[in-house]
Amino acid sequence: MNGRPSQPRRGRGRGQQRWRPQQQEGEEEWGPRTGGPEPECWEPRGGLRGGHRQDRRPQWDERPKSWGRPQHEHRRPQKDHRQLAERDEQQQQSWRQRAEHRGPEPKRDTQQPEQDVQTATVYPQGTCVGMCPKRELQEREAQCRLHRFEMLAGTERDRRPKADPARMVKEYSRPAAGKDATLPSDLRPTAVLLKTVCYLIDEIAASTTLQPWTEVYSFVFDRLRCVRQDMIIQRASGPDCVAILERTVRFLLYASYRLCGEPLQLYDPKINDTHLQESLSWLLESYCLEDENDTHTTVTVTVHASSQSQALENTHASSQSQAPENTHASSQSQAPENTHASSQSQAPENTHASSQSQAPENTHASSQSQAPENMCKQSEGTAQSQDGNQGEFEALNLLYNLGCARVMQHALELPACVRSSPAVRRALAVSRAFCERNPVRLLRLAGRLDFLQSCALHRHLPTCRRQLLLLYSHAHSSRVCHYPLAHLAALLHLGHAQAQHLCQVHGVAVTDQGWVVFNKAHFLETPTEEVRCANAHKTETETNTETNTETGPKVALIIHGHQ
Amino acid sequence: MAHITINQYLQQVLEAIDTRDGTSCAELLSFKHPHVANPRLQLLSPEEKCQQVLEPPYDEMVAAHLRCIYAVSNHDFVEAYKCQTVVVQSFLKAFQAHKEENWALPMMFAVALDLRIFANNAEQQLLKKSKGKVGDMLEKAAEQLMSCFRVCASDNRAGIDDSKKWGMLFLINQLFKIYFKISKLHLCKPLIRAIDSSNLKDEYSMAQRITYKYYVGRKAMFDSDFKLAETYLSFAFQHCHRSCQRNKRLILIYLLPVKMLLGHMPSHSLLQKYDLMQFTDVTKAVSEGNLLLLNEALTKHETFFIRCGIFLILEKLKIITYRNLFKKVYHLLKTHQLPLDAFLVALKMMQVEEVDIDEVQCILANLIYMGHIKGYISHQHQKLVVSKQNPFPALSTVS
Repeated sequence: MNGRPSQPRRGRGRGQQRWRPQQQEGEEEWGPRTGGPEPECWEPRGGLRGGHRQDRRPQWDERPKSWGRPQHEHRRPQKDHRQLAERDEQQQQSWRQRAEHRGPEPKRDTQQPEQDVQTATVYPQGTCVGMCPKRELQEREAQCRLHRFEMLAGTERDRRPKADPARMVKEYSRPAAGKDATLPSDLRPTAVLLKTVCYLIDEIAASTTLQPWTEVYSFVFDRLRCVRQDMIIQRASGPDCVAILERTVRFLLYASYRLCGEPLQLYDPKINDTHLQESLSWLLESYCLEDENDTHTTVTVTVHASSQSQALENTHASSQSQAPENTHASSQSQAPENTHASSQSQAPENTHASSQSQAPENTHASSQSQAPENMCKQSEGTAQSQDGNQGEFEALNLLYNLGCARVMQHALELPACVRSSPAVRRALAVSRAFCERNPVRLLRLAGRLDFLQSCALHRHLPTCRRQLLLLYSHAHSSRVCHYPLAHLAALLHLGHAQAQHLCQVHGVAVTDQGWVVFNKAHFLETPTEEVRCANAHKTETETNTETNTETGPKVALIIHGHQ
Repeated sequence: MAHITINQYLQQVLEAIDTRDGTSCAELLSFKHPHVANPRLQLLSPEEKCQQVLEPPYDEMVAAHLRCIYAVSNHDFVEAYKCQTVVVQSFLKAFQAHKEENWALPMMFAVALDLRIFANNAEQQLLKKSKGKVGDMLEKAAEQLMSCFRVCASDNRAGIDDSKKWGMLFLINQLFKIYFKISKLHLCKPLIRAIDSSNLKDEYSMAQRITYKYYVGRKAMFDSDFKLAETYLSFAFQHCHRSCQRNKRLILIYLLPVKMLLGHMPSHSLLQKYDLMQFTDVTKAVSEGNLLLLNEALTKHETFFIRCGIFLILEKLKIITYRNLFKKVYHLLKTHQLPLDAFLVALKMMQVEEVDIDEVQCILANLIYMGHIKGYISHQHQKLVVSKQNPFPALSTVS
């Protein structure tokens, strides 16, 4: 400290005081060589002449191997870190011993607990047993902020409607300053959250009496958002969390299809998309985490499986016979037909279900219609097919984000067992057709997808159809072009009228005799008028043996994942 | 050097700081330098010693560095990473106080590089114990590097010779490495913009520029901008020093697919020289129009291609392979009106799944649209009518 000059010397002339890249003097050696690479052999000619200097090496070769490295263990090239980490485990013991030899180490002692605290920070844990905290119930009742679906039957027309505790669900509210969102009494534990989700699906989304569906959507959307908020605050994870996210994703996907084309104030595809992407990536992340845990400790696998089956059992039980809450019992017992089993036994839906997807569906239906104790078996089955679920959602991710390089790369990096699942393989085939710009194949494959997969792909179909018209306009462009409209409609998977309309808005002429006249000069990239999606729905649904009026129980089956 | 005492070491640091010798300072803080092997410097609490010799914030920085040496000698990379963040933070304090001078840049390079490496190692160590999430540590390290970057980028007062902006490209390269590793490529965009608008972009050292071009080229490739990717990667490959075979190979892994997509096939000797024989069958398949072989080659080296992130790009070669296959059909039939059935037979021979005449039309339509085939399809006659002049233009002339 003492005897140091207070101001460092300022000598501009000294080379080391100023930093500049040291390339200037040898610039010409590095100058680009003339002449581009030849097509067949484009290996660059010759190397570089002149002095080789260490400091010119590209930076990603950070640690030249020739470096005189000390014999000591502790510095080694980065690529060895794995071995190092392995060795690290073995050496833990030895350095602990060494540390003991060295005598007391106050720092060490204080750091150890600190680290533990850091990794195991206490997150708030919910204690609320109902779908809605008592406080919120009273508050919203007093402020007249009850949703129509939450009012006690008979009081809707009152000046101050009463809340039905069995139907109240905690609503989403933005985090704001001064608001404590971490009160345990306001947070629901994951088991309750899962019950809430099942209630929202079975009693609201799948209801045949609650109309219109856009209102159903906005209600369920908001309450599901709140469920996720509760999970985030509690840092929830595990099988319940996965089950919740799975249902959320299925609901949002289904809604994106069913509400496609609705006016913006009733349904905003952008917002739905944001939430869908968020939930989907969270879900896929949880699968990956589970995988990692499985590989780390084989013991947890069994625990996992059993807890999973339990959880699912619970959910089914609750939606089937038990009430999610004590207060809920009344509404349940009034309408026992709301259960899956009974709805399955209704004739028209049954045919739907079986025709929609072939073999596995039928077995489901039959086991469902038998007896409640079958639920056990079924839920076990679901637990075992945990990987199957991952495949299902990886496939949905691929289809929903069709052609996205990041998503496809992710799919390629999946473990072989997931990647080779039929759903993922089908989805990859569709992605491939998209990347090869082969809309004919894509639309053909799209016809073979199951219902939810079609929902996921749905938003890309207009693009694919437009692409097909674009390609054909260029390829069939000639004065004498005659392409049968019927054939084109079949390729587009559209009805005659819709195909004709699509052609017209894109500037492709159709003659009265049913011939399409392609001409590349006349093709319009942007359609002259908006193509109504609702029309397209009809044919798609036809091919999927699905009618536009999905009945309630059917919706529940889709969202629960028993298509 | 190897066995100096702590006091000698601190004196050296003091001397280097006093004379503003950035390079020596950098060495004394770098884990590339042999002093980190010196057991006398592996101290658990060197704070007091450092305070006696050095002024703040240098004392804090060197103390953290020594603690880091200690942690590394115990193979505790999580701790080492924590210490290194302190090193970087206290360095930044000093660095910000350096007005209109940039002699400390080599020091920043050394500490920033070690920060990234320790973040990497710490993450591996945590994952081994199944703690922590993939990318967490690296993301935090990226934040630290960004704060360095901000200091450098906002240095507008100093003249060009004394500007801290000379440190920008190095930091960007480090950030690229992290972003590519945690696959958050979208974060690269503002960095690229910063360099594009910089008047120093062609003045940085060649090594840094090559690394930069390598990463920007890779990014362009993932964004399907192959022309741009080719320019960047070619620059990197041509200017990379000939002694850096490994780096040249890394560049080639991405340059090869891009070049192939643009119609330039690599020679056998090139692949041999850089030990990239995984590409031989792919190259052969594409130039022969052999779809079957292409699929086989892709499946055979699937793991390698996926790990490098080029599998999807290589799949795009299918379109060129179709073109080459169809060109063969044209040469065999020697006519300008080619029956579509002939193409169907060719595709079936290549065992393309479930292909029919509609798909043939679609594949042809795509090739015509992209300009690989000059001609049109006649649906009534089920024929492809090709131009009499140059029906299959050279790949390099088609964009």
